[in-house]
Amino acid sequence: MAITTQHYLILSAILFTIGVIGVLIKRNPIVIFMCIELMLNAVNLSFVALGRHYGQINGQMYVIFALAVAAAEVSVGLGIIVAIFRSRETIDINEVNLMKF
Amino acid sequence: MMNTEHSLSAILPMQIVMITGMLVLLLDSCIPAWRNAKILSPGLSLIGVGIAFLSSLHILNNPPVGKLFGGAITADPFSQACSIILLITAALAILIAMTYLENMDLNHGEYYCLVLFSTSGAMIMASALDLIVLFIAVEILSVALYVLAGFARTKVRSEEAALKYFLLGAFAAGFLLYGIALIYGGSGFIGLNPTTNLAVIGKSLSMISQPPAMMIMGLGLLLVGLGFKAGLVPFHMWTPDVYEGAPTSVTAYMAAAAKIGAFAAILRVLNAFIPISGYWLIVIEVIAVLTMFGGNILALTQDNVKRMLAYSSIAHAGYLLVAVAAACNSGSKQSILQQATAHSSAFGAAAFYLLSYSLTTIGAFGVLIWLSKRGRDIQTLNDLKGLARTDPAAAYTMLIFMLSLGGIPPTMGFMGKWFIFNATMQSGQTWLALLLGVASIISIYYYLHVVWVMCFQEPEEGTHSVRAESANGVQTSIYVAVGSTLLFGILPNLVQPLMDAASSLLRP
Amino acid sequence: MSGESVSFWILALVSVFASIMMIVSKNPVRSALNLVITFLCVAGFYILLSAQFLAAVQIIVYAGAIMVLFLFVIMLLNLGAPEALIEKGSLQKPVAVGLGIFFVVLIISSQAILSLPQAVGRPSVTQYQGTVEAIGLSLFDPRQPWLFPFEITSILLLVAVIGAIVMAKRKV
Repeated sequence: MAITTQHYLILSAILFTIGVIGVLIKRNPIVIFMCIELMLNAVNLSFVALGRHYGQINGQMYVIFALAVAAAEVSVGLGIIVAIFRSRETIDINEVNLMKF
Repeated sequence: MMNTEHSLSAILPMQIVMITGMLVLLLDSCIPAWRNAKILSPGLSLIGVGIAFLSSLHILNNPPVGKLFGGAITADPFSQACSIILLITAALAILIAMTYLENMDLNHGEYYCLVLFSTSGAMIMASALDLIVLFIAVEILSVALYVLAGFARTKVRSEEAALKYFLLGAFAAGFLLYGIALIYGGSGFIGLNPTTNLAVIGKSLSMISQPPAMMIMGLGLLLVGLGFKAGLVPFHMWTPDVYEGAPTSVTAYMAAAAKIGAFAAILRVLNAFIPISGYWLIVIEVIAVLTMFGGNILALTQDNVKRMLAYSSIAHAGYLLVAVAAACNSGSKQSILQQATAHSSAFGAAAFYLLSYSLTTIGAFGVLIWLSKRGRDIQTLNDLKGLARTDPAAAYTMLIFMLSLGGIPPTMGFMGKWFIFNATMQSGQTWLALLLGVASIISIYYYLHVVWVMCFQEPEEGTHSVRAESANGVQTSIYVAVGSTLLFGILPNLVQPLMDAASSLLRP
Repeated sequence: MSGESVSFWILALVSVFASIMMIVSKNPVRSALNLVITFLCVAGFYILLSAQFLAAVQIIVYAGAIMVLFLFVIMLLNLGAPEALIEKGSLQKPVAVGLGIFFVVLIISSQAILSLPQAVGRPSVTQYQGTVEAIGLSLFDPRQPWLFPFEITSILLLVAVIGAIVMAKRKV
């Protein structure tokens, strides 16, 4: 069976969904953040697959920007996590009351 | 022939804001004397915002022609109208921050540079024509706001607010990006070279009958992402905690700027998708109703003023979404001409409401800052007890902001609701207009409750003379906000040029 | 089965398995290492999709820089211990999984029912080879919309640098 663009799109949807589920069920902020990175990667895979399907380099351009955005988010996000750790002086980051609605 | 120079002159306002941000950062970090003189950074920021305001007015009157940067961005009157509202917001936010940062010992130049960068991000959101530009602009705005929310680094609540805002914001960014990917894929179905340019997509959607499923899916995910930023109801859970935890001056700025940027983007995106509005209009209407009632009902029980204002900002997002629904209604019952009138009056109403919401929200948070003692935030209703006796000036300005938020004449908030109500009636969504009225009546209860606490309750012991020292900045900001709330409430025609500019965004 | 399909299926199975392991494992370090495996698989997909430059960038930036930063913070804050056993409300997990499955079905159905069309004017194969040259030419082409996002990305990175310093420096 030949591999078509649909294969890539479905795989990307599956990876994205695993990322979403991870964000919803995990407690540790760093792991939640890793799941968000997984979501962004899944989207990037979609972009590249669609770009190849349409014979455009454009699909890959989106990925370059998404990568830059991910890098920016990581630096700020990990900075925030380090700052929380400093001000609370506890190693139990689970105490951060994230989900008080 | 469009060259890069032409494109660069058309985006002058946002360039000025960015360059001012860099200058503030540079001077603040390199010259110790600059850092010690607390007035210089905000002063320079205000000058930059002022120049950007003037150049934005200039572009509003002489809109550039042709594609800018290969169609990545536009400088049409709608974008300039939103930029002007944003710049006013930024100026007021810088003024109230001067006092607040001094009182809380947070006076660092980075604050102003982050405010300026996030303003430029919101301005790009209002001007973005290509979805990838929209995505990066959302990120510029959000990343700066994550840091600002955690700016009070010694306070655990501020840090938690930053973390919560960051995780949910990044989560929403994932949905936003997936939406863009699916729209990119879907645009290949409708007979054009695959693109994410909103103008191109809007034009080709109006020529087909059956939109591709992938594109509708993508639009849905895009709206989830933008809905997070705007704080619409199923995606609002971050709002109260973040608004409460963040430093008050940041809350004021965030409540106004993030909402203006998000709604400018929502209006532009949905405007391009009007030809297929049969597929999504009902979703927008339902979310609008949920947001209005959810925000108002949750606000009823709050005794923390910041939290109450957070829920009330959710309700205001709902009113704005009613205007969006009115703009995008293309039901079959009406003639093309009627639809076009409703479309343009809804856009004008949305612009007016954004301005009135920003002025009053920043003003209301400003009063809280005005009352804050050194090192201590005013947060609960108890702190406001009997304010009319201990500090009449603050009490009466707060009274006007509460009346405006509740939509009571003769304030700007009333005129804003009236315009949205009218536009909704024009577009034939009578039920939506009536629900808007009911929701506003519910909201009057908790706004008047604040007034009642201020005017008719005995002040608690030891709450006399609680004014912040060196309150010039916040005072100016409050008086400007009160003045324009009353002036534009009585003479709304003064804002007419802005409304005309916003309503010039054409249906595809 | 051609070489492409064999590599696709292997990479697909490994990436899905590793990402599931990432959200199942209780230890943040294990999660991070599983995420690295997923990133490497995605780089493999990029090569299969003839996006060589992106594959290299994926390994350097994601698997290299970003994951190193993650591991560094985990070690710095000493979070390597297993997660505390407190879980979110008992209802939340099944609801999340159910929603997730619903979501994936929705996306797959919207994509798979309609077969993708081909591009209007299909360019030659060499044009979408993801070489540095092709990407660079496209990035700075004035007829393409990429120049402006490229420029404002620099503002985003500047904001991120300032933000990271403001948040993480020890005293102001």
